[in-house]
Amino acid sequence: MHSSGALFAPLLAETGALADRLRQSVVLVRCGVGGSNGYTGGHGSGVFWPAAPLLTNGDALVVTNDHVVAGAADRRRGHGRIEIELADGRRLPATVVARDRENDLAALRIPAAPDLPPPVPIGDARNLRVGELIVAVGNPFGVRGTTTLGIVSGAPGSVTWLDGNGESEAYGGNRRQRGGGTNERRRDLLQADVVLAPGNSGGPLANAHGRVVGIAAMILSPGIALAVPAHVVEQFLASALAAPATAPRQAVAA
Amino acid sequence: MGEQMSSGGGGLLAGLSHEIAGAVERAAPSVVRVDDGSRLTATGVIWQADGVILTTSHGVERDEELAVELSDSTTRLPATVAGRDPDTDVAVLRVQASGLPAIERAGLDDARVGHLALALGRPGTAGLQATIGIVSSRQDSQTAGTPEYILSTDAVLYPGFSGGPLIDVGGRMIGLLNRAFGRGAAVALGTPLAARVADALLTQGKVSRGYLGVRTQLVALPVPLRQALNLGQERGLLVVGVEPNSPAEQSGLTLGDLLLSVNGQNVDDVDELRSHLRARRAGESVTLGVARAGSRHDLSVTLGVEG
Repeated sequence: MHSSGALFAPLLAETGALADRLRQSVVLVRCGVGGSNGYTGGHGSGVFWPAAPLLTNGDALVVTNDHVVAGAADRRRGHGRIEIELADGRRLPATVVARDRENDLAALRIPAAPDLPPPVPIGDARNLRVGELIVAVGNPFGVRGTTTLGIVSGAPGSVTWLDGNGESEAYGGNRRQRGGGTNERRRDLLQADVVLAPGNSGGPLANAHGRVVGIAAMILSPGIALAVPAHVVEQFLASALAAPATAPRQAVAA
Repeated sequence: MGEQMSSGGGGLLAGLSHEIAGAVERAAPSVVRVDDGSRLTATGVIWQADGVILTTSHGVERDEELAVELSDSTTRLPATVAGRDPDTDVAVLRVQASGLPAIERAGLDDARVGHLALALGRPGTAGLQATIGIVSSRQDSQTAGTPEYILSTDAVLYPGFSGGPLIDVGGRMIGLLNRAFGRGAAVALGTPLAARVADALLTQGKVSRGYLGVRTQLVALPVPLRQALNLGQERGLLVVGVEPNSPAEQSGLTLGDLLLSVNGQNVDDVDELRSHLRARRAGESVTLGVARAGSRHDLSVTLGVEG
């Protein structure tokens, strides 16, 4: 057996470095409906995603959940504002450029600015084995940059989601499975036992190499988290942003 | 796999990640699904290659029309209940098969507080699932001189995980998971304990434990009594019922007696009495220290078989 500290210290150092790198690219997403004295709406997490070649004018891309921005992005309900708060505290306005309600994804455009955080490296959730380590970063209950560690709990693609006609809660996305729904559809979801809480939605889940393999979407209970796999995010972005456009467009369901 | 290392990484995290995934894959063939026809299926462990499956008793809601689904998610074998032990909530099932991949068992000293532990289960139709935590606590005990232990873990137990194995990073089983046992906490019966119960259920269909036949109530001992009898303990068990024809009745124990000790060891709550009895077999003799009408008595009891 190893003496104490021989593996633990360097392992922790590596985990800490991975978490630090992720955290700098994770944002707090705030949505408000009207109000001159700030945001009264909900909030969640988001992460800087590689923008090239989708956005060509130097603007940055932030990926989050559709349910995080749903309240503010629906124009019929009035003046919705969305802003992101960076890890260094800077607040920047954001516009919704694409939404995918079925996969619970949304893309935000951030106008080009100096010293924006780098986008995260992307991995492939389809290669994950049950047991591989997962690091999740987000803003549960508004606590910035909270990091948790867990493992891949279920084989990718093994989760069947029954899309009933129930609405998911806009805050945290907790949802109960309903049996016998007419819209039973096998959604490709990544399952991990990272402990997430309301506010983590839209934040990244990374593998042991620090590559983002999913976006937190649903918390069935503490320790049972479901995430949209990275390849589903890539498909959403590619189809929604195929042609450069300034107006938001609805994503085509994959 | 083609994954490139992120900058600054020494690869330790990736190495650990692969080892954990490897441990899951090593144990996975021994983790089965137990289908009792109810909506919530349970998990089970292949205990012996000749068709012995270990699971929790509460997860198996009936004794007939049971099926065990193997790790290939296809092979379904009819199963029968060989025995149940309500005390440890363990059930042993039998299937007609041979050459099954039995789980590798960890040794007595392999599960230490702080060790990484993985909870494995096959809930519903989702296939093998796993969660990670550490061994949070370990309670050691002895039964008839054989050391055993019970673990708790902070690994999240998903619904349907009960009956599955808690394994170490080597893929060896350190305990049998039970969500209900610990009143919400994730408890695992240590492998040696599960083995003893499984053996008893396979050979006798039940586990025979020391039985006294008495109902008690915890009471604070009056100070004058403690002083008069020079008692160090503050509480004792007041006998409020004696089963007819029980070992307790035959020993002379009667309503109103204050049970103070078993074999010289002070007993000051009901759980302690129970664990004394659990640790002994039927037919064993014990000495009960009793206070009756202000004076001390020692009664010899031959423990019987629980009915």
